[in-house]
Order: sequence, then structure tokens, then C-alpha cells
Amino acid sequence: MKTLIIIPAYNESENIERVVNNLILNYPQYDYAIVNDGSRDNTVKICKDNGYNLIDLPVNLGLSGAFQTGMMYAFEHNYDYAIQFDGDGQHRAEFLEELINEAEINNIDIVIGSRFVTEKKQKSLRMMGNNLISAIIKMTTGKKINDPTSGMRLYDKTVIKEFAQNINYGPEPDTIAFLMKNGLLCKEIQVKMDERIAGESYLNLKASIAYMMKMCISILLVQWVRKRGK
Amino acid sequence: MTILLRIILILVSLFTVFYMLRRIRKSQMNIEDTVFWMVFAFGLLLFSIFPSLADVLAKLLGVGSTVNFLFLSIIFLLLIKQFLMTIKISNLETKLKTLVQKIAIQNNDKK
Repeated sequence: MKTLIIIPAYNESENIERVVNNLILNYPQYDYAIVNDGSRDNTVKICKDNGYNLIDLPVNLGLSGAFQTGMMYAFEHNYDYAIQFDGDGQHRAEFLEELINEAEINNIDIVIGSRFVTEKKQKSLRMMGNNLISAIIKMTTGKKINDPTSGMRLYDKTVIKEFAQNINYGPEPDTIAFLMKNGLLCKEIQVKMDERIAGESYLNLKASIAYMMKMCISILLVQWVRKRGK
Repeated sequence: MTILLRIILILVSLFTVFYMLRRIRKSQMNIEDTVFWMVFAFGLLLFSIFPSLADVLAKLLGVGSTVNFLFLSIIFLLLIKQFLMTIKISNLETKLKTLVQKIAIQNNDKK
């Protein structure tokens, strides 16, 4: 099975080398593609100096635009699975195999690398958002996703094509909920994640509130009328 | 507020939501761009169903009549939206310019 690891990178010069070198050295069986989302630091230079497989967006598109570029690449190169993987070192490559196995053996369309299948959620503001999204997904699809905001997800061939060719297919919980409602199979696998070592997350308070608003409206309201892209 | 005004407000807000959803259904609009309008329509709906809410707020701000309070807040909200849209268009223009410039330089490098 051909697997592509998509690594969206925005200002990740402090992390990208560590993350990608680990993939190349220890997991050479998977292909990878870094999508540079118009970084303002020297992410591009580091990638070019190391000879990494880089897709360099000339302007900043945001996570969903950057990730979609990766999906277009995966679709055009005929990959069976695409895995969304953070460039900041939060995700551990040792769990990639488990995600792929799950998709292969049980024929699952979307496999989420979840922090909370067997582990308990700690109580914090961020986890409250996580719980809220989890609750509205349960309400509208009837299925439980413990860690909807996890950024480590595997998508199979049919989903790759849909992501590559349609608008409103961001790599976010609302798209997952929409696809689940349309009968695609989604499963969670317990993984461990690390704290980000360097650099800063793009989710500040204002962005978080906008994010939550969008998720609520999208999951509660919009997905009832959305037509599924082909 | 008169009953007629309330009915008009309700119809307008329902129409807004309906129109937005139709756009999304036809894949002509990003979901995040509808958030403002959905919240706007919801607020309008709230005030037209519970006009006493607007009465209380109007009194609190010392605005003479409730309808004036509604007009004021709608104008204010639209001004903010207009301002945000100006920023967005500015950003889009910059991005477009950068994009064109980078493509042009790339083409030149190839020669």
C-alpha cells in the first residue's frame, strides 16, 4: 500500500529538521511531502539544503489550503493512504503503522490518532472545546469521537479524492462529522502526543473562538444541507 | 415594535440563513464566511421573537425607542463587517500581487 505523509509547515524552522529526519531515517517505507504554507522564516531554506520533498506554496493559504495541496499531490500520485502529520514534533511516527494497519485490516476510511481512547482527558479550557465538539458530533451523527481535534489522521483513497477536489473540505472535525454522516467509517486509535518543543501554535484566543463558532455552525447547521462532493 | 416589523425581521433572518445554506450546498461559499451572517440572522431572530429583550437594552443605553436601538446596532455591525472586509480585500490584493510576481520571476529563471 502506498502511503503519503503530509506535513503542513508554517514557520517550523526549529522543528522541521528533527521531524523529517526521523521519518527518513526510521520510517523509509513511507513517502512524505512537506507543504510549506508561505513561511516567513527559513523553513524553505532548511528543506532545500536537506533535499527534502517540498511543495512550496508562494503565499500563505492557511492549514486547510496547505493540507489540500498535499491531498492533490497524493491524488495525482495515486496514493492509497494519506496521513496528516504535524511539522512541530507533536505527533509520534511510531504510531503511523498502527493507523495504517487499522485502515487496511478493517477497511476504515478515516483513522484518527486519538489521545483519549483509553486515556482520560485532563480538565482545561482547550479540552472543554474538545468535549463540546465531541458532544455535537455525537448529537448529529450518533457516533462518539473522543478526540475530534486531533491533527493526526489517516485518509484512504476515496477520501483523498474528495479532499483534493472540493471546497469546504478542511482537515477539521466538521468535515469528519460530515463524512461520517454520509456513511464513511471512522475509527480512533490510541496514540501518545508530545508537547510542542519549539515555536508557537497558531491557535490564540481569538482564533480559537472563531474556530469553535465555525465548528458549531458547520456541524449543527450546515452539514444537513451539504451535498457530498464526488 | 409593531407586529409587522417583527414579522419582517423574522422573514429577513430566515431568508438570510436559507440563502447562505443554499450557497454552501452548491459549493459556492466557504463555511467560515457564513459565520458572521448566521450569527447576525440569529440575533435578528432573537430580537424579533423576544422584543422585550431589545426594550431592556434600549432603556439601558438610553436610546428613545426600541426600533432606533435596532437600527443603531445593525448599522454598527454592518460598519464593522465593512471594515473587516476592507482588511480582507487588502490582504487578498497583496497575496495576488505576490503570487503574480513569484510566477513571473520563476518563468524568468527557467529561461
